[in-house]
Amino acid sequence: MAYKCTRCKKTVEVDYEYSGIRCPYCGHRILMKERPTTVKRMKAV
Amino acid sequence: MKVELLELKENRVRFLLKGVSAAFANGIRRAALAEVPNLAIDEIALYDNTSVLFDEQLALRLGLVPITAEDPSVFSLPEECQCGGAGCPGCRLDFMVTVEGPGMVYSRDIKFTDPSVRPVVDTIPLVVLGEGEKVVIEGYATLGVARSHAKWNAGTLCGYKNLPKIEIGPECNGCGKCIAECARNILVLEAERIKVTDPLNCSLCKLCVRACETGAVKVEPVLDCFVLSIEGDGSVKARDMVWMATSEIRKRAEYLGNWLAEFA
Repeated sequence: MAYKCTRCKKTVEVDYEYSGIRCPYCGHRILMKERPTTVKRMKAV
Repeated sequence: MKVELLELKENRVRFLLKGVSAAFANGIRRAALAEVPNLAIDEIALYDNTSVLFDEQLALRLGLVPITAEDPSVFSLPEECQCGGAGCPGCRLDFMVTVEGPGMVYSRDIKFTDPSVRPVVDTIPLVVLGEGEKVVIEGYATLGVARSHAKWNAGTLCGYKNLPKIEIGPECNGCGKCIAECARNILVLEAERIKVTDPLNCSLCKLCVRACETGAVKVEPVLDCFVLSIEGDGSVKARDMVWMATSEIRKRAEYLGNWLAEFA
């Protein structure tokens, strides 16, 4: 799963088992989940 | 049964029904509330939503926007459509919303492919967009009835009451206490006598009866006479709404009659 670092704005791949939640470029620990590029369909209810 | 029209506006109709039971009047009220087919956004496809609002919340807000068509009779309910509910121009109305911030997304930004279809009110706010935020949505509206979801509710304010019968007896001394009590201001004093100006406006609260010390004021409901008030959100004309509601009752009654005839 690709995330985006909120400090350096780079897209990072997170290795949950090895590094935990941490940006490999700047070490920042707040990452943002990007919106998928797929079309989201839903009922208007 | 006798019908007397009291008031007819685009969104509101008020009429008098004489010689019917309360169940009949309530049937019209309920049918106007829940059985009149109306247009509403049914499903959406979100291409982009970078606003602060959740996708689901935005979908709900879009669904609740009242939509009107110049001639709603050309559309059919998906389950009654010749396509069998698969989706065709006869039962689905496509729309698109593409707005980029900063600014507010209004209901007027919902652009239907059919030019005869539009939101009833242009200025319903949907979401505030900040700098660089964007909303790109497409979807379709369908006909539906409020029995399945409130977004298809055409009749918003439907009610009835018994016709009030107000009598001022000869023992009235013109003290004016009933005039002070009446919240609807329908009683006036004329030549030492109480006069009723607008009996249809009476809410049958009977405050005037309690205020009258001589017992001259009598307020009673006429049990087989009803004042029906049908008001809509503007998506269907009030006149058409009553027609559709009564047609639905007739359709059901005919169905029940035919069904019972099978056992006779």
